[in-house]
Amino acid sequence: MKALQDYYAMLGVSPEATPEDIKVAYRRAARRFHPDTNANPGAVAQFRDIAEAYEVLNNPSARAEYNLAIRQRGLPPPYFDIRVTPSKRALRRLPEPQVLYLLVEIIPNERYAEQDQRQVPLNLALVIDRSTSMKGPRLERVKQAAHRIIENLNPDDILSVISFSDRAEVVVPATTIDEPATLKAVVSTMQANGGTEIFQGLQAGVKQLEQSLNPKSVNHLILLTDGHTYGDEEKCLRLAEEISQQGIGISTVGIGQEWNDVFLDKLASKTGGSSTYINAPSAIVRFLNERVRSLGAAYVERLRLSVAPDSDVVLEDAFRLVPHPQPLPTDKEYIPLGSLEKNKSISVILQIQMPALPENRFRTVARIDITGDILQDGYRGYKVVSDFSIEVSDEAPQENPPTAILNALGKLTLYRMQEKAMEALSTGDVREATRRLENLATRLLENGQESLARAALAEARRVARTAMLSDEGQKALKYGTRALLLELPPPSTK
Amino acid sequence: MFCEECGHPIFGEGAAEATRQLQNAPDELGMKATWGTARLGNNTSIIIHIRDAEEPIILQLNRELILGRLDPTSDTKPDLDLTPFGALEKGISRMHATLQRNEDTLTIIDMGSINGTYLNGQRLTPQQPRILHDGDEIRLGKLVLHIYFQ
Repeated sequence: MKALQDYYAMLGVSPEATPEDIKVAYRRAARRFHPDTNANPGAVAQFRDIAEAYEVLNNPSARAEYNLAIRQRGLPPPYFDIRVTPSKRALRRLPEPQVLYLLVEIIPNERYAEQDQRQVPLNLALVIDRSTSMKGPRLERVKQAAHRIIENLNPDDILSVISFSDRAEVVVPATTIDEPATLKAVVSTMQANGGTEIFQGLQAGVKQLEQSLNPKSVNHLILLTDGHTYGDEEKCLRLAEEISQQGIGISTVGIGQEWNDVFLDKLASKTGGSSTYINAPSAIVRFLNERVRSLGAAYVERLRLSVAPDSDVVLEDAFRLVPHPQPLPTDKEYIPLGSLEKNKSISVILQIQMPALPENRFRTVARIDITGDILQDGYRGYKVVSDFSIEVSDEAPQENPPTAILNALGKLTLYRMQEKAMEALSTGDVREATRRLENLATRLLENGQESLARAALAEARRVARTAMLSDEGQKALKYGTRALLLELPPPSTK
Repeated sequence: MFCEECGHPIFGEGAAEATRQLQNAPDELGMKATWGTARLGNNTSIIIHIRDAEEPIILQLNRELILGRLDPTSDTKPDLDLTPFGALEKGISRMHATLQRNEDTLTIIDMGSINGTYLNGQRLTPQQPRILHDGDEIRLGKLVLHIYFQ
């Protein structure tokens, strides 16, 4: 069932608003987000919502009908909330652009999140790389992990297992978990052999998921690989984008050092999933089971964030801090965020560029909304909107940013320093890369991250000598600095 | 706020001299999160600091308090009249927002005001209560006030 939208909230008017109030509110909003004046990708979605709300509320008979529907069905309860905290409460009046950070928290409302055992069925596809390099402990651990997943799934969950090398093979076609022992035996027969063509595996996995696609389920594909895929990356990304529309998420797990982290990051972020690096095969079992557990704890799925800055404001960057630290794409109407668990907030940090601010006044910055499907009640497209404004003043106080933002940015900076070193190296600037890695090592040490600092220093020396990073060091730094974000204290105190 | 070149924090006191080695890690600089507790004890007073006003308003709230602008021609009147603080030119409605005391929290509700009520920059949806935290900034039209619990 499509959730009944709160059109009054979308327009920012009271249910008692007069037709004139509604017109004024619509004009004000339309001026901000009309595609002719606002080129930000997120503005398209906001304008569509505003127009939809206006169409109903501006028409007396449609409005009466809508009011009746609200009375009879009721608006959905507040399943979750958004809180936006800016890095500054007021901006200095400046003749040049300045940066503003917004911490966006999506906070589950415990009262409406299912409290007892999970009710939501999983529709899960495990897509496993069985190329020659997986031979030995890697594939054995993956099989073990699959066994454990089968044991932990509920009987009405649906699982499929696909193995792939240069072609895909459906090891377990989509099935409920009626005979776990048989399933486990089948999984055990997997043999390592051949190359790595991820698209083959993805496509076969999606086919299995599609057979039982259900808006009331968590539909998810977990891809495990230890290798580079050649020539089919674009095809994979296109497929990820398509299935994201259908409500399928992808989580990726890279094992060892040889896989393409940039590609797997992109693949996962297209659907709001997570991408992870596992160094030791022994960690595979624990990680996969944790991932499946958290998928099962979701009460909101297909969560997506839309950020519509005002026409003169630019969204420069978005990064999910918790629960799965990940750079987020900002070039689309919606930023997929995956699922919301009942006791875990999601935090995203947005880097926003404000234009030159020539006059003292209060001004709007961006409208932010979060949309998701509420699994337990079968509501699709439940939406919470937040409109953020800020004061521009000569007397903007010199206050320090809130701790939560500072901590997050401090850790994010370490990650970015690592990225910049990689960038420098990829353009062949060895000296620059060395310098950046040395700086990173110093900072890491100051943050008490000794082993990461040592890794950074070792890589700095290696780069200076050989103009190359070790695959191992590169992944350790990238995912190590990213993992620091997980150690942040929870931003909101109750 | 952190230099992406070298990772130095660049904010607050040391901002202008970023090359100096800062002894303190950023989280030791004595910063306070913008929001404090949302818990409102039984004997807690509510302190409202109105910007540019000399004295804060201190009150013991039992149930609710309507903030607005007194208009002699209208039948309704607010519990707290903001006229002395420039309510008219700052765009405050006659019945602008309500502060409401609940079991152990304080909420604010926008009453469908023309120029809106903002909580830490977020515009409130009319008639939907939001929980206030100690130190929150509220804006009614163009009038800024801070709420503290004591």
